[in-house]
Amino acid sequence: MTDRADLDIELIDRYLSGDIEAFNILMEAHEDRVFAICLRMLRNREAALDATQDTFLTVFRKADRYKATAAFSTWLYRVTVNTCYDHLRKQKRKQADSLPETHDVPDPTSQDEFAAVEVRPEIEAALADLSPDFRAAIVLVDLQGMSLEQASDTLEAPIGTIKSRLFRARKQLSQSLGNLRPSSEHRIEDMGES
Amino acid sequence: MNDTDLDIILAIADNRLTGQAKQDALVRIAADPELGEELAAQILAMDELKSLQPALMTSDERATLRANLIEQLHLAPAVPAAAVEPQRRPWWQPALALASGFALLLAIIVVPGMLPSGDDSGSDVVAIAPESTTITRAATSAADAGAPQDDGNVLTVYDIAEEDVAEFFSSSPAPSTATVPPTTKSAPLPGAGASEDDSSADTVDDDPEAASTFAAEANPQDVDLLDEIPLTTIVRADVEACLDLLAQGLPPGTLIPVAATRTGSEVVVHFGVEVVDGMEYSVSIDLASCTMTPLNP
Repeated sequence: MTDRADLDIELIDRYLSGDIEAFNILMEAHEDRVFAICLRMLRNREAALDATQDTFLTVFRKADRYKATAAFSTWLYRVTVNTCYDHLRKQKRKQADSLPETHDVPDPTSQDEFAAVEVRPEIEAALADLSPDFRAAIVLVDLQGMSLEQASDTLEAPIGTIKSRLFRARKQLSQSLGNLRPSSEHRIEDMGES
Repeated sequence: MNDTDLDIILAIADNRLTGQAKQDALVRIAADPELGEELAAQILAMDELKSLQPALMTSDERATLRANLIEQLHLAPAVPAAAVEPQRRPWWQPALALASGFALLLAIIVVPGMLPSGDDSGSDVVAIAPESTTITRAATSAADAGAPQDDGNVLTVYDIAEEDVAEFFSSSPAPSTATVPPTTKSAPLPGAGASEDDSSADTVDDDPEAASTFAAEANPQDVDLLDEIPLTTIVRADVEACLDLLAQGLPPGTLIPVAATRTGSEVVVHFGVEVVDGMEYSVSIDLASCTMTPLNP
């Protein structure tokens, strides 16, 4: 494991023995990334903060069950994504309950929904169109810089599945943005020169 | 598109290939316009995503998150050991503090009345009537009956087990209405058989004949446990006053007097204290200060 992973294991042990400083160090190390995943997954700042809190509550309450066979961060981000899935399901139920009569398709470029998140609302809107599984793959790999293997461990899905989700998610994102360019030869040539 | 082509496109897009493998992949993609378009779409999406602002919490959000977590996880900064000690404060400490305060008050009111004085009509004695009057009569009878006097030594020690107390009261054939000591009107003995019915005490006070005799002597089978501790009347009044105070806030039946001793000027009454958890403790009450001291750890 990496130094970070080893340090996390040590910090968890210290936390379990009542060391509040270990809690603070773990929070400093991971809270931004957890929040970023939640914000990109949920596209709502308040919901993201709630999900971040729920994630850490779950992780710290179940810290004694953490097995050091995997990196702490992998377990943490798995809990993060699962917590976001739960919040998305709740959001969906809430929307269904509060708007039973309407069948209008919401405007994905609505400023209100995305203004708190991003100065590029069209990208957020395109992300909003993705299924949660596709979005998770994009968020972890393209936005959080995880490798395919790390994303596979985090999402508990085979690498092939992650590749497929990533490929299709990017393609859908490009289509949503309406920026598919008919000619890409020059880009490929550029890459060949690099 | 098959999985191999997907792998090639992803590998190129993610820049995971190098050298000859990369050249071979580019040749493969260039040979198929569809693959080229797929690669372009992948790169475009990645570029757009990279343009997003990093998602960060504000300092306020961060502080709120930490505070909420600390609260919900019941985390607290380390507390010095000295600060933890008061959590195990003995149950009798509040009573002790209260009793100490009352002892001072008692000393101011009662003690001057006890002092020998040419003026029998001392205002302090008058102030605590009618109880003081009744006690005086009882004291006379008690002395006549041979009760131990205050001679500066150990007066009496009664070790009465609880079962003996129960047997004592259960075998009592006579009604208790005429035998309640004068001061039990304001200080019933919880759990020791003292009647909480004020009417019985009123009967005693209203009947000079009954009140003129100390309860234990009037009908030895109809006494509360305190009557079994032959103390001088002044001591008895002090005992009852302290007991009254100490019993406040305690469950009924908590304070059970089991013995009384007097050594020199120090008068100590022992109580078996049966607390809620069923454990029995012994405490002594120093009548000089009306303070209570545990006798067993």
